[in-house]
Amino acid sequence: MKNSIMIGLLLLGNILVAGDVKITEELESVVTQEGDKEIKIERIQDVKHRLTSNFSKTSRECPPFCVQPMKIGNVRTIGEIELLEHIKEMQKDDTEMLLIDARTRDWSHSGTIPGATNLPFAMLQKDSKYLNKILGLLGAKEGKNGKWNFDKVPTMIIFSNGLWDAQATKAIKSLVELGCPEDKILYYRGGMQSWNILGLTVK
Amino acid sequence: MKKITVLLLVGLSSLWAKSDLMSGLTDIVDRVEEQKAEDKKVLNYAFKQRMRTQWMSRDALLIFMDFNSSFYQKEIVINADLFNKNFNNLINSKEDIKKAEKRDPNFAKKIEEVKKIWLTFYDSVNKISKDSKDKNALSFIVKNNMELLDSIAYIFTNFIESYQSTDKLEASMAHIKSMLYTQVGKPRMYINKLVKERLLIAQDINVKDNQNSFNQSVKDMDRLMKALKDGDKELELHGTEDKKILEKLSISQKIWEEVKALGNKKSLNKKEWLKLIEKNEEFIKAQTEVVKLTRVSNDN
Repeated sequence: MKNSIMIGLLLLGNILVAGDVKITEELESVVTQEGDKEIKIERIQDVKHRLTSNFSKTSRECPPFCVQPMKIGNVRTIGEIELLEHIKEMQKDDTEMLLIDARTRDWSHSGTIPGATNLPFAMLQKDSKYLNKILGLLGAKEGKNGKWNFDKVPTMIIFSNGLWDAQATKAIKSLVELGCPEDKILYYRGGMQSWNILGLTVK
Repeated sequence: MKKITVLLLVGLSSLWAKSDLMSGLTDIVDRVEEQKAEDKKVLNYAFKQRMRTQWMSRDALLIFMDFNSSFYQKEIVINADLFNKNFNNLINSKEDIKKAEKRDPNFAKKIEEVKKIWLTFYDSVNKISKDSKDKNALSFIVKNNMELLDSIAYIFTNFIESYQSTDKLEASMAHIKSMLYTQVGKPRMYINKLVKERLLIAQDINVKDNQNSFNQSVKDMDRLMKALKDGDKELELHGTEDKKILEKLSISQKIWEEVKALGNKKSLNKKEWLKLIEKNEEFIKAQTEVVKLTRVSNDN
């Protein structure tokens, strides 16, 4: 009898734990659409969960993996709440916003934020073979003077591995150098490191 | 009703535009990645070519010493043909040579020199595969295998570096990976090299030098195996925490300890020689598993 009560209490404890790990007090999850698939972004519900991936590392060789500044020119830096709000907005039909994972393909393939498109930072460099094609796809128009007009380009939220990774910083700097207005870019500095540490859904 | 239809159409076209944009970007990135995968093949050839120089030399000695000769006479030809195919693929790519010449103006000349050594080496391998007691063929292989190893390493290093991005950050990240891939494959070359050196000692060929080389190879191997696990600043290795890699590394390490114990024995009987060779092959297979896992891991 005593044992049954103990087991019952333990089970109840687990039920109470499940669903308790919210994003904010009011927000449990955000749903994003990828093709015809819905992906629910939420936090890992196991309160005992620990990171064991490479995002549990504290130290990496710098260069290349150096701590990134909070501000890149006048580009607005955002955190997870703002990013999730934007991901929610992106589901609306008329929202012109694009979430860009600026890391190299191997990084991106090992796990990214649902709804993100991989566009490695090096492909936005001036000497990139595909730059014109990429800018064209984004909606930029090249003027007769060789300058690009970014009026029709969606707002881009750019991220990479996070605080210690310059890939997003480089992508942002390249876009600004090409003439992209800074208010068309948002920088999610926390990147995959912060996303993972919060146990948010990774695709 | 009309208004709803118009709104729906605007909404749908906007959705289409967004998914077109996303798939368009993915297509371009895919194309670039396909090219990079081709470049990686060159890197992969480099590691295997390095290992093959020592493999062929070891097999030539095994054939000469009558260890399962008929088997190794076939094996040595397989390795030589693969080496030849990869080498020709590389040196016939004018575009690649031009790229590499930007880094080293004497590159094309160097290739001609290596080609000359290789052709005689290839010929010697074919001779010993037909006549196990061809002393001249064995002598050429023994004398020239290290030069071939160094030359091939030089050629491939140049090719690999000429593929590197002009972007400092990308090149720096690629360097870390290429160092890791280079080092993680190296034990396969070392094991063939040190077994070859042990065979040379047993054959009374240049004993003092070969004993020194053998001792050095053992030290290098010990250091490298530890570095792959725990890291080594000089070798530009950070070690790994990946459990799967660690598990496979411990298998390689165990086999290496057995090879080392046998290799360090003053003299070996036929049974022990056969065991040494068997462990040599086992090690290559085990370490190849480590190489494969390292390539798919992103343990940076």
